[in-house]
Amino acid sequence: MTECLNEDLRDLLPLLAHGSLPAAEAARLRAHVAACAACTAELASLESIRQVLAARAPQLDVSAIAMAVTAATSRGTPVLRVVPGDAPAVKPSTTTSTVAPRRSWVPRHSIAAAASILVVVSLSIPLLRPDASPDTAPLPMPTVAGPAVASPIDTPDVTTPDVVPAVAASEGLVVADGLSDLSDAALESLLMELETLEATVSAEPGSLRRPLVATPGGL
Amino acid sequence: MGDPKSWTSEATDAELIAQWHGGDQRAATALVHRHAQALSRFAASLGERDGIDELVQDTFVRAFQSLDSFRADSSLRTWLFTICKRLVLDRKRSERRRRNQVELDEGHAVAEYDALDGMVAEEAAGRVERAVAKLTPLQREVFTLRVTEGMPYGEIAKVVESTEGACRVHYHNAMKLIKESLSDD
Ligand SMILES: [Zn+2]
Repeated sequence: MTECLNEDLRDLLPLLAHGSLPAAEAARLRAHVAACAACTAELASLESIRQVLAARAPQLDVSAIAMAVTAATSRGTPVLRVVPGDAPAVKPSTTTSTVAPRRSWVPRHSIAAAASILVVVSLSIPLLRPDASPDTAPLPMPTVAGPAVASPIDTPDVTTPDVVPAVAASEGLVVADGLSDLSDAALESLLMELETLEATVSAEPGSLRRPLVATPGGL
Repeated sequence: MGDPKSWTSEATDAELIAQWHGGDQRAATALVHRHAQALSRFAASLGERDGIDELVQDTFVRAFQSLDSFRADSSLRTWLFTICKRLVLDRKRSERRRRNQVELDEGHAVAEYDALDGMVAEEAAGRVERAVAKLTPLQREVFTLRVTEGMPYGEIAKVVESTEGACRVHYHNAMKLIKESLSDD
C-alpha cells in the first residue's frame, strides 16, 4: 500500500483515534480518510493499538487513591498507603463508592503508635479505676524493669487471677514484651481494643483523635 | 473512549486548582478522578508493572504539595506526567542500586518491557505488544503519549524533555517500525 503523501493530515490520525480533535478538524480529516486507503488502514491500526496499550494499564481504585491523596495533602501528615493484599487496590472495574475500607488505610506507623499508647493506657487503668481500692488493685508489678525492688508496701498476691484488673495489665504486658514481633493482625486488633478503651479512658488522645481516614466530600 | 475531553478542558483543571487553593478538598478528588487512569497508562508505557496505584498516589501527593510551582503554560496532565516520570526514574534507580546492577541500557529496558508479553492472551494484542516492545524507550514513550493520550507534540516534548520537531520524528519512526512489525508477523 502506498504511503499517504499528506503528512500533515496523517500526523493528526492518532488524535482522531483518541477523539481529541476539535469537531471541525475531525470532520475534515474524516473526509480525507474516507478517500485515502493508506489513512484508513493507519487509522484502524491506531485504534487497535490504542486499545491494546490502554488495556495493559491496571484499572485503579481511583476513589481510594483520591481519599489517600486528600488525606495526605490536607493534613500535611505522612502519606497513607494503599496496602496491597490487605484490600486489593486494583479492581477489575471502577467503583463508585467513595468509602474505602477503614482498615486498608491505617498506616503501620499509626498502628505502632496506637499500640504503644495502648500500653500506657492499659497500665494506667488500674490507677484510674474508681473501684480499685489500694488493697485489691495493685500495680502490675511484672512490668517493672530491672532487678526487683523491695516494695515498702506489703503487696497482696499479684498473681491471684481475680485481683488482676480486667484486660488492662495482661494485654499491656504482651505488647510491652514484643511489639515489634506482633503480626499486622495482632496490631490491628490492639488498635481496635484501643478504640474501645478510648471511650472510657482519655490518655494522650492527640494523635488518635485525628481521623485516620479523610471524610470524602464526594463529587 | 477513555477521557476524550482531557485536552480541551484545561480551564476546568485551572478552576479546580483555584478551588483547591481555596480549601475545597473536593477539587482535589475531582482532579484525581480525571487524571489517575491516564497516569496508570503512562506508567505502564514506561514499563512499570507493580505498584502503579502507589505510584499514581505519590504523583498526586507530590503535585498537590508543589502546586504553586505549576505553570499554567502546560496542561496539568503534562505536568503530572513529568512528576510521574521522575518518580519512575527514582524507582528504577533505587531498584538498580538495590540489585547492584550495571546501568540499564536501552536493550535491557526493551527486554524488561517485552517480558510483560506473558500477560497477553489475545494473539492480535500480542502482536501489537511485540511491535511496541521493539521500539526504543524514547520512541515508545512518544508514541504512546501521542496514541493513547492524544497529546500534541508540544506537550509530549515537555514530558520527554525534547523538542516538538524531534517528537514528531520519533512518532513517525515508531509508527513505521510498528507497521513493519505487524506486517512481518
Ligand atoms: Zn491519507
